[in-house]
Amino acid sequence: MLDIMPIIKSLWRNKTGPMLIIFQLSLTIAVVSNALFVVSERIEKIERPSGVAEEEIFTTWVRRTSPEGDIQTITEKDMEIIRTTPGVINATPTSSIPLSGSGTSTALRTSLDAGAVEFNSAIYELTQHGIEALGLSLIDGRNFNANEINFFTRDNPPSHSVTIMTQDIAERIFPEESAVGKTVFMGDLPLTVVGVVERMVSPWPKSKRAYDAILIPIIVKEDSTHYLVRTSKGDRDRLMHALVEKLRSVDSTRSIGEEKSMVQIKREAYASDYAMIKILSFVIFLLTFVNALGIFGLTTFWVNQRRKQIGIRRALGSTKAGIMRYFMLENVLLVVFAGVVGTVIAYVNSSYMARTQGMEFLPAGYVMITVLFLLMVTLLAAYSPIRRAAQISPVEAVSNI
Amino acid sequence: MWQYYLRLSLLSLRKTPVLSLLMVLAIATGIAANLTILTMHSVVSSNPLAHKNEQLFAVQLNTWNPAREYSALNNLPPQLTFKDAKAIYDADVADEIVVMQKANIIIHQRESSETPSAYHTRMTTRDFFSMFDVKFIYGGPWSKEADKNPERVVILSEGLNNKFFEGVDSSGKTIELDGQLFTVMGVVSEKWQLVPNVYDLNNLAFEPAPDAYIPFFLVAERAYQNWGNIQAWFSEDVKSNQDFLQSEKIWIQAWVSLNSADKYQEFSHFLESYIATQKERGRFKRSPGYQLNTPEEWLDIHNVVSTDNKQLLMLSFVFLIICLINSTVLMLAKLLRKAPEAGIRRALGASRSSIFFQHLMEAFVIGVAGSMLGLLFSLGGLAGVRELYSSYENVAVFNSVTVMSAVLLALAATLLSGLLPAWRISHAAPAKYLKTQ
Amino acid sequence: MLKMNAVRKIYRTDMIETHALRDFNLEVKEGEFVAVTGPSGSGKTTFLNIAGLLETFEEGQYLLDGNDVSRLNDNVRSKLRNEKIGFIFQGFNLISDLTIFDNVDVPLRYRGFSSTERKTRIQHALDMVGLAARARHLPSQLSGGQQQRVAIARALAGEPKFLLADEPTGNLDSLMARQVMDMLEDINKNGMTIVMVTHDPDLARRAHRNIQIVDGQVTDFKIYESYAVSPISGSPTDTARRVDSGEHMTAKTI
Repeated sequence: MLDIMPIIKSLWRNKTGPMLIIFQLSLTIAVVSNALFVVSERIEKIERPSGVAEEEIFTTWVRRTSPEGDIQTITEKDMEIIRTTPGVINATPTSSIPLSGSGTSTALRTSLDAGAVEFNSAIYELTQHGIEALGLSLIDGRNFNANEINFFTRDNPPSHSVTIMTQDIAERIFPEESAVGKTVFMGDLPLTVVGVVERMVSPWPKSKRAYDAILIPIIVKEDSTHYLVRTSKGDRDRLMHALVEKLRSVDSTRSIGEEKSMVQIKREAYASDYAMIKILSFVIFLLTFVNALGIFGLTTFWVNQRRKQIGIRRALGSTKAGIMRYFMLENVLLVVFAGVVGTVIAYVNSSYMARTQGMEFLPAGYVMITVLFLLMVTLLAAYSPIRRAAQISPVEAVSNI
Repeated sequence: MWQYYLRLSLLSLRKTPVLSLLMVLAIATGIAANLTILTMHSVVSSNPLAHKNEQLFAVQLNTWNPAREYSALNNLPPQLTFKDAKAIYDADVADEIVVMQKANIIIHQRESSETPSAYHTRMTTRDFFSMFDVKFIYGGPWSKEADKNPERVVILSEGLNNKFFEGVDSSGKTIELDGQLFTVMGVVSEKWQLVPNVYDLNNLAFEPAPDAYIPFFLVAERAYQNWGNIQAWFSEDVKSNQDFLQSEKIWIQAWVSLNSADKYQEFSHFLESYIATQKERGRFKRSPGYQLNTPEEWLDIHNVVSTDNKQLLMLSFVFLIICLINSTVLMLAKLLRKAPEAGIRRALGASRSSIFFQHLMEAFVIGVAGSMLGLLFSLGGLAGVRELYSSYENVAVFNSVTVMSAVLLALAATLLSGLLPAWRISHAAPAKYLKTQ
Repeated sequence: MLKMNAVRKIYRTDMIETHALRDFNLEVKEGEFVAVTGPSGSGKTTFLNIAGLLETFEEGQYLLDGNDVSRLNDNVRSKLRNEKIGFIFQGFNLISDLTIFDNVDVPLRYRGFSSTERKTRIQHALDMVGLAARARHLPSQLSGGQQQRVAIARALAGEPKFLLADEPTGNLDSLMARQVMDMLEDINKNGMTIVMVTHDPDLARRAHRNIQIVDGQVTDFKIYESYAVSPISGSPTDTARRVDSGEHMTAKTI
């Protein structure tokens, strides 16, 4: 029943066609398995939790044009307006925005000695409402107190302050112990750690240490700043536009704009990854389509070429199902051979990429899934012509035309 | 003879419409995918300053941390401090010199009741306009005097000019920038755009052109809001704008034009001696002290062509190969059917090459049809790319490279997918197919 | 016109060597109508392929129209085939997608004739076989006999030196067969050399001379006196007359 050898022999006798098909299928297998891998890698990258309440947050940029008024007063008034609006959970001014690519960073030290190790970290200048506005979870210590919030001008900086760290950087600077109560130095400024939050992404999600960040309650009085607002999920867009309008009406000389939801910011941050996912998915679809068409066309012709042979088989006693099995088996063999060659190609390429571009090595599962998938597709594509082959009557064996 | 072959090919293709269509589609898909990615890649990897590549140089000064090198790019800081930028500018050694920063400025018409908005403004010296071949539709750059003793003059983009002045020649008119009155000197054409924007790669490599330009040294008057990148290797006490200008923070892009080898030498010597004097003051503790980069080198250092781009390029070629093989296989199958006819023709006296060219013509027709369809498909592909990469507005468009590639690809596709089958059928022994005795 | 000396043709596969023709000698003079007969497997097909320059051979010599064509390359053989030989096949071998006109046109295309020249020749050839009216029809629209007549027109259009026919009436009924044979005889009467391969003795009788192949060699020539009274191949007297005129020759005397 599983007479593989005759099939292999008959394929070998007329090898050009089968070899080309095997080459085509194996290249497809190599490409598709690699593409699947990249797609899953990217999806994984995008779905990494940011630690903030992505769906509920929006930000806006506020810039004043007239130098009148005290920034602190203005900001506090704006915050009052925003936070008392129904639907708003909380809000804070901020110097940096997660995932956005815009923000400040610094190098932290544990002592002021000359050779002290430096730890790069993103900085978020926030009020005590920041934790709730961002949806962060405090896992150690406490939040800022209202009296720790300090608006200052550059010519009169504070001499010390407090900070809340993310767990990632806390573990890096103070491994194996609680960071609470310890002191770090931002430049010359000592910061006492009062709390640790579980996780918060910096403005640069693609950097190596994307979750190293500190929150500080000292806010530089500058002409422009960002406001970060958290609302209940359904209200976000409506409130975003409403609040921007409201802020504009408070002072029409201000430039208020670039309001964006965190969801959009994230989409923009990972734009190239989304693009890659879409492109690769489309490529996978196209390749599948092209191969399916090719197999369909080819099988149709092979069947036609071998009408006499099929007729002879039937005349000699083969059932219709037997004919179908023969051709299906031929198809399976081709895909299996292609699978072997394709695996080799995929691995050669993968190790080259790993060596030169520092990319990850292709896990075995992807090739197997691809081979199985392609097998299914080719069998489906070949089904109709093979079924027609089975309908060929034994009379063809004796017909002379 | 080729007309005969053409007629025979068309007849033959009509006889197997489904198969012919499959072949055309296979080639079209392969070519479309390839063309789309090639176009994208050709622009992304292009150097819009190629014609000046040997004269323009991005200046890097190594003012960084003595204990640790700059951790990115080519391990030298990509921007300058104000002190150094001013020193180079004042020395006036190069043929042209540009120092600049990217700022955001609130631009507003005094009388207008519209809420003010902030715009992408480039604070630069006037050589920018000649160095980067900026095209004006009205007016022109400000004078050298306006650079040195900075005047409140502004050059607008065509878009901004349309918005604030309804598109007329606004030279001489005034407009408010950050609350101060500036006079318009000229308007830059909306067609001017460097893709990628080589002159400033600190943010995105494919940004729209600036909305406005003002003299750089206005930064000495007051603080302007930086919209690029400010970096420092140690924490400095910066309380005022003056402190900022005197600090070691880097935030300025510097370009020079050196039109001869002598000029290059002269400028290099100048930099070397400048660095030497600065060393005495405790600066420039790292080596190399400086580096001059051509636009091509600058693009390379910033990795403008991402790994993704490169991967996609390779992928598109493999995809094309797969499609071509597919087409070849289908063509082989098709010609197998035509072998008896070929046998008859051979018996009647056709040489092998006649049969070869007759069937190559068939592949040619399919190749041409597939290529044209592929071109059409790639229009869609490029539209899709523009959708996906919002900053690629000017990248994913047809250009002369694309069209040339299209022609070459078409030829290659035709020949490759047709050669083997045509060769096979021309070398088949005619006797086998003549059904003799 | 056609002369083969000691031709040897060997087919080789992995395990078997078949001597299809061995020490094969044959001569056909200009204007002759010769039938080559023999049982199946005797080498008739091989002879046909070699005579038609479709295949090469290992040993021996083949002179065609005075020229030695034994060791020519494929291109030259194609050219000669085109100019000197007119093929007629059992299965007609017309190209089904082309009209009658285009079918007759095929060999002329490879000749390099101008468009007008081709048209004239095609017209003339179709007139000769009486099918000028069907020039725009497809082969499928013609009967078997008519298709074979088109094949004859195709063979004649290029004014070849001789016609090579392979079982020309094999796929035709007796009426059409007679028509085709009549036509061939007429063509021969006008001076065309014809070599016809067949295994039908009745057909063979209509030729001037029979050459019999057995096991790849020409054997003794046999006169079909025993079939002289067969009703199919014409009147008994025709054959008898031919026998009496002594126009036969043995292989050995050539």
